[in-house]
Amino acid sequence: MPSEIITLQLGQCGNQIGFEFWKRLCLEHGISPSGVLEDFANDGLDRKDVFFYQADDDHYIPRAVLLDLEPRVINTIMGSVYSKLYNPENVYLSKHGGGAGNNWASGYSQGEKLQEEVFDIIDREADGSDSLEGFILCHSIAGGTGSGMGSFIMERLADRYPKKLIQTFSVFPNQDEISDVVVQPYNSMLTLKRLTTAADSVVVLDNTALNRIACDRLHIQNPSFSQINNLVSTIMSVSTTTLRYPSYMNNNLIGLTAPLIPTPQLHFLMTGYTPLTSDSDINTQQQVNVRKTTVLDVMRRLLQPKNMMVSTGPDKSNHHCYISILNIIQGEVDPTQVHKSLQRIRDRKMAQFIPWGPTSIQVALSRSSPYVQSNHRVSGLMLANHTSICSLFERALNQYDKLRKRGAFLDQFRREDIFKDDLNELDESRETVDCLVQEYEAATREDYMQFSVKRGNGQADSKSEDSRSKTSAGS
Amino acid sequence: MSQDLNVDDDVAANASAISNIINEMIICIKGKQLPEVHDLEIAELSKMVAANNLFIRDSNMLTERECVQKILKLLSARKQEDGKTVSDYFHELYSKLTLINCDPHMRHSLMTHLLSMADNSDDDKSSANEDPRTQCDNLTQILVRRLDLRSSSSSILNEMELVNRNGAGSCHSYDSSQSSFGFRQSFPNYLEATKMFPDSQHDIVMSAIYSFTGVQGKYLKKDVVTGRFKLDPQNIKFLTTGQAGMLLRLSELGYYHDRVVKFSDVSTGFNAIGSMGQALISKLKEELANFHGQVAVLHDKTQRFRHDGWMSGFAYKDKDSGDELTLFKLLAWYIKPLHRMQWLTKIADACQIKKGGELASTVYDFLDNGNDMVNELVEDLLTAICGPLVRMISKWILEGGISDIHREFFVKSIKDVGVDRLWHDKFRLRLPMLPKFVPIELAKKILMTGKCINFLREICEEQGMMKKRDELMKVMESSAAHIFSYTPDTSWHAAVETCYQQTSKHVLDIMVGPHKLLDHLYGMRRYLLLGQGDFISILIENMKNELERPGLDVYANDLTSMLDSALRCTNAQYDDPDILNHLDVIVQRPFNGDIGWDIISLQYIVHGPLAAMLESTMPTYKVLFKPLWRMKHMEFVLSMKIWKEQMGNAKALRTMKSEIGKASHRLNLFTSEIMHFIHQMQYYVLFEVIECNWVELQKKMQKATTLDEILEAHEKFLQTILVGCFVSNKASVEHSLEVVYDNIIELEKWQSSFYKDCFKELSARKELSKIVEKSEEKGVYGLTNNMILQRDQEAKMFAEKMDIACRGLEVIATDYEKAVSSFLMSLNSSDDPNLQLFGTRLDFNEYYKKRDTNLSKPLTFEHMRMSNVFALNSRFVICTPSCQE
Repeated sequence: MPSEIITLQLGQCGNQIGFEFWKRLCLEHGISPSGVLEDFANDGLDRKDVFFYQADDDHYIPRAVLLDLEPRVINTIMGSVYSKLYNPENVYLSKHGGGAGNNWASGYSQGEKLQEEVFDIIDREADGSDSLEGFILCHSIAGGTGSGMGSFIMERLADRYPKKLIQTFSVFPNQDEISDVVVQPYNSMLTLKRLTTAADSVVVLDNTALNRIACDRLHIQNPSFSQINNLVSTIMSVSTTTLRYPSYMNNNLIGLTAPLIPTPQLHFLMTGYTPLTSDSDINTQQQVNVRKTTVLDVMRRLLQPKNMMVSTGPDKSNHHCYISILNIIQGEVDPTQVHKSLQRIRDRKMAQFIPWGPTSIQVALSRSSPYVQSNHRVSGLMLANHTSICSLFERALNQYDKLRKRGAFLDQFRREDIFKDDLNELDESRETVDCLVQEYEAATREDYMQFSVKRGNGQADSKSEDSRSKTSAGS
Repeated sequence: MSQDLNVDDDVAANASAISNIINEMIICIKGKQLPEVHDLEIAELSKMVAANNLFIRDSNMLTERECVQKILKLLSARKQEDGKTVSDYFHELYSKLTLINCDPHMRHSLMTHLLSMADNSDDDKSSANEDPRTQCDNLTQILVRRLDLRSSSSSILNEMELVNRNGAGSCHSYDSSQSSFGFRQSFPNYLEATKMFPDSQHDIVMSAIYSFTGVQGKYLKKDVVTGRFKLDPQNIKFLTTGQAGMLLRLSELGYYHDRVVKFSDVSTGFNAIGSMGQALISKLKEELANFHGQVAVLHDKTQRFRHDGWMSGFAYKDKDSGDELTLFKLLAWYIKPLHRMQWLTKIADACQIKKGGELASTVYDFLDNGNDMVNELVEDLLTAICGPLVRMISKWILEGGISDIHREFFVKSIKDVGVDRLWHDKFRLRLPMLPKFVPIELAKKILMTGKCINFLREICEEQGMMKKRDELMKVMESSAAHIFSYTPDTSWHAAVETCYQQTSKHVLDIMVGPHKLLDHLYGMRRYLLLGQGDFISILIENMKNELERPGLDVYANDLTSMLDSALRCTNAQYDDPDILNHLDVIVQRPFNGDIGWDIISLQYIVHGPLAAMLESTMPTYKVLFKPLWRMKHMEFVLSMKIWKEQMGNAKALRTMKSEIGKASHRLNLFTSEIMHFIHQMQYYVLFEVIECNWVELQKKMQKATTLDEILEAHEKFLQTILVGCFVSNKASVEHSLEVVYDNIIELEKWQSSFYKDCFKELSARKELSKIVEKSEEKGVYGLTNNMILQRDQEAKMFAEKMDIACRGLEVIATDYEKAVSSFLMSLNSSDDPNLQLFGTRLDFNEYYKKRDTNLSKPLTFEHMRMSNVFALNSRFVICTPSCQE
């Protein structure tokens, strides 16, 4: 079947959000937890085969690979009603089951050790699809398995499947609370490098912002993981909705991501979703919160920072701008309204765009599942490439630098193969991330066309200086 | 009156005997003549005699006996070849005639006539050149007389009516008795004249009466040129000026009568034509017959009066002259017929050489008359004219048949058009033949109804007759007058509407139901207009190799299987197989240099009823498919090839970033710029143009009650899309778009050579480092100077290549930007607001506007105002010189 996408869920967090994602997909496609198509779901408007395939007995099986180094989450999943949904061959649990101990290096080297078994599964899945389009990776960047093993698998995937897209849904740690994982900055930095170099697009799911949104917008005092994950699953499912409900455009992953990502490095995407309602809202119906929502309302709200699923921190110099925007609008939309809304946004200059190239808000109208009731007429998801995302990386850099300066907690890293000789890998990662930040900063300026990376160690400086002078002479 | 009837009966009984005798008598008098002339004379005679006509005799009052003697005297002058005198023979005949039981008056008149004939026959010999005219006159007279006879003998009622009318008219000022008072005072002359010459007055009256039917009398002769009556110069001396004036006035009726006769004569060629024209003519003739009836009654009355006069020994003065017809009375009487004849003439004149709807419209124009009589008359005529029309309409809308030999029906069927184009082309409105009183909407409805019936019968092979067909037919043909009713709410209109509703509903049901018209339209929208995005991308993916191949190597049969597999594995599989079966992929004949992309296209094959509906739109779909397909091509090249390669190669070539960074960065940005353009373009075309209009179309289709509404909406939908897809736009737009596309292809070529060079360099470096590694393992310095030199050389060459490549890229980028600028320029200056808005959308963040100052000009208010001022000025400039002049 065409344009298949294989989902890889790694680690505790990755499996959790993956689990929510599949739950959501089953609901939207009318597939029962055991994989059987519900009687009512036969209108043939959706395209299930991107994410599912059918077993011999016509059961729908997700193209998902579940990987973890500790059994807790996977056991929960396999103990739930959805246990029969997954192909048991695709669930891989490390035999020693000790996890990665929130250590990136441990996850990475375990991934290296287990790679044959893991890639057996992935290869089998890939062979089972007609024209595989790419992989979606769910993980967090802070922990051990998701970040470490995830990093390894990403690198291998990029090598093994150079023509396939790798998209990740990466959960960034909550900055508001003190993490119990002390090496989190190291983990983040090391994972960020792989996200920069190996992935093709990264959808950033910032726990900070998600928690804030849960508190402020959904009025949940202490948001639980499942509530947060609910948000995440919404974002994941909506961002793939054009793939699953095909219409005239954006029906494959590449069509979806290519216009968003101008250069290979700048592929970190923010998301925003509106209107937001929590489960409790829907269940209790206490808040009759059915506002009249129009396309313009939705698009305007999507541009508001408070609806962003990434906490970027205040932009003091107000120079950050949108590189590209894709709005996926669902619901009853009058097509002619879209145009008017865009015009309004342009006239009011509600969004600031890059000065170095043409860009605009792309709109994809998508069907929403007929089986999921929504009490909103129109809902929208924004996938945006915004330069302010670099503040996230800057923060990570700062935290890393603090820790690195002290040389703290490096022992457990040194224990692993990759850091046995030296800690170059850490420095290289830092440099890569630093370059990324530079590039994002450069992308806010008009002369981005002449951009070239300044290396921290000054080695590339002269060259880049050279090339710059050359280009200026040339132009 | 009863006497009249008796005479008629006698004539009928003894007709053969009398006619034999008369025959012989004429031969006696005239000698042997041409049979036609002979027959004519007999006919004339017999008619005149039968009508108790005292035609010639009135001038010299002779008794029957005197007549016979005179005839005998005249005839005795001649000799018959066989020795027997003609007079003897005549006498013999006469005595035979007396034996036959016949009216003495008739005999008397016959003899009188024969006498005049005998007289004339002598004259004829002297003035032979006058012959044709008299004969011609005879002809018309006979014709008139025949008509006259028919009406007078058949319609006693008419006469009664006339009498009644005269009686009723007595209260009006133009009554004979009253008017005679008036005349008596103002024109005593007339009265005197009538009193002085009672006999000649009778002649004058008769002359007037004759003139009514266009017959020349003693005093009135026809002008050869104008056809009007004029006073006979020979007899003018017997008339007073008053009489002459009145006669002339009265004779006007005859003139109009003649004209009506002429217009109702089919042989002249100036009459109305066609079956509706025939209806008019027959109506005219009916009018004439009616009129002749009235004249005959007048005539009869005069005769009787005169006869009574003789009976009472010419005792005019004793009798009350109230009964007698005088010129005054005629003047009073003639107003109405004159008016009627005038109008008939006027109408008939307007209707010359007209037919069908044109004729009806012409007559319809007369309908708006304040005069009740005229109104009634025109209504009568129009009703008669519309008779055939109504029949044609009912035949058309009930059976779909056209029987229109005169080409006067406003629906025409074009013979050469085949069944496949039945719906769109076969039947058309013949607009000149559309009567004014049938509005174009109604005409279209009528056209539609019959077309639907034909369509059902010929293409859908449905034989069912319309419900309540006979009933409708009855209603429709019952009253032709309904068709030109002022308000279209008659039973006829209702019946037509019912037919229309019923038939069009039936066709709509059949097309939408069993033939799935709407599903097919949706199918075409999804497959030909690329609405089913997943299907198209899979199809392109499947056909990837074929599309890149040179045109000559592409074979349609390979593609069909690819199409099928694309249909199978996308959401298209859930579609109705009926619709999918219509989808086909075709390969056009390749031109030089064409590749698969240029010649492969999708097609929707329709047949049967669908073909009749949609065949005409197929070329439009074909035209539309091309730019859409090309756009998909560009998107495919951009994202599947250019962008994907960049992303992949960025990872692979990371080690060489310092060397190729500049070029690849430029490449990335350029790609994203084009990507933006193509995606916006696609979004605009697929969503704002096609989808938005499709939504409109769907709404209309849901509401539609007739098939044509759907087809019309569909047609409009396609037209709007044509504009939106830049197909029917200005050439400049298309051209700059083409340049943009060319640059994309150019870029792809550039990129592949660029990456080839890069990978070559990369592998060379890897090779080198491998050697270094190996030698390090061995502990030997493994690189020779040569190798290093060569490597350096290669590296240098690579750097140069990169520079050249950069320049090449810059050239493409410049070309591209130019093309985009001019494209935006033409969008901005376009009249279509949608295109203008699309222009602003393409340049959402005003990137191009900043780069190209020209672009910002047409959008500014300043510019608008300036251009307005300029326009005003120029007008002013043009005006001033002319003012000075």
